[in-house]
Amino acid sequence: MLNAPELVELNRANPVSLDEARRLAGELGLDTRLLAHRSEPSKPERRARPRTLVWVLAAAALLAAVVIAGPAWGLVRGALPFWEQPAAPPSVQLQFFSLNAGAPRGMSPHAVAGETREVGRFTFGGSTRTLWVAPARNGGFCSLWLPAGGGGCSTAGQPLSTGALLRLGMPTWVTGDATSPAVGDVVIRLSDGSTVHPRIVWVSAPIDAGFFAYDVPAAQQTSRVHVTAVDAYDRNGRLVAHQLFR
Amino acid sequence: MADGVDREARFRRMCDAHTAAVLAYALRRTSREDAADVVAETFLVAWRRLDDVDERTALPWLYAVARRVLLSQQRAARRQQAIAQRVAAVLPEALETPSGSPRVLDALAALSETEREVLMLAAWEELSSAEAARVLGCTATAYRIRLHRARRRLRERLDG
Repeated sequence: MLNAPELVELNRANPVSLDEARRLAGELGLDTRLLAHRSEPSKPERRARPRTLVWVLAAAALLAAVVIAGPAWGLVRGALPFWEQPAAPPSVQLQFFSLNAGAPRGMSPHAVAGETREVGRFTFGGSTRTLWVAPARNGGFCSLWLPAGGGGCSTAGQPLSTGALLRLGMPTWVTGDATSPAVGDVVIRLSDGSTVHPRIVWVSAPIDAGFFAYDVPAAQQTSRVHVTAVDAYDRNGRLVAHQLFR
Repeated sequence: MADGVDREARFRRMCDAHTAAVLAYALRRTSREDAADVVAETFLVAWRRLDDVDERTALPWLYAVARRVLLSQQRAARRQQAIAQRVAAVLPEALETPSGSPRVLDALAALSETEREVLMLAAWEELSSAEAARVLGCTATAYRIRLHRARRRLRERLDG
């Protein structure tokens, strides 16, 4: 069919060759090698155990780093090294791609789906969910709690972001992220004046944030006692973000 | 578990074989940023509907999905734009900043969306009539008729 002169001429004017598309696929984070990344969700790769000498050297280096870089908040809090966490399988990467694809025009968070990592497992709402996090080209990051735990994207400089599943207007679980070093602690407030400090998993650069999930006990899902807010404080105890429920 | 592993392996094969081609398809029809979203959405659909995809005819199937995603994206874009901007929005950026011959691309841009698609599937994606028909959801005979008409219209534009 390409014998037709119009089609031959049109073929010569093809603005994007397959080779150029391959190059651009890498540039756009759509490299098939990233899509077809290695790890399976149920079998994250384990790194080989270093020899004793390597352990000793690593411990010494870590100690020196902590001493020298004392104020380095991530180190003090034992942030998970993001790049060393298990990479996401294609199915998860595609869900991050869909965050870009599903965004309104011009509002894409530009999640780098091919660099999604597993940063923790949390049990809430009767299921154990994996927290997947991907850096975003706008300087923020995107996170998804899978299966079916929600998620979203945070921009750089947004100290606290929360999500919750409400039943009869009361949270049954609360998830969220807080950016480091702006936030040093997160407090969940209840209607009876009590507070909860959720376990926070801090993640190193390029994410620089902590993630938490609080499975609200049945006793805290009553009209008298229920979650009302999440507060974020800096290292000096100053309130930097306050998010209300209801 | 074995099914899951097999599914992932099949999906990886599809990604390896066709991501660049689908991206090229999208880049020929829209902007670079939107093209990345089209690819993402297309492969998301592919993952969800993997059981419906025959590996031997996966590429036309992916093009068909990408085409629907593009049309949906263009409809949404048109809804958001003022009437005065609509006509310009319909023309893909790839055609506005061509690396190929401006003359033939100008002639192509002057055709209807359907005519352009019929011609591009033949000349740029280099699909057979049966494959292109699969993308457009018509019979091979209907595609050949459309292609014949579109070629004639393109020739008129080139000569005119």
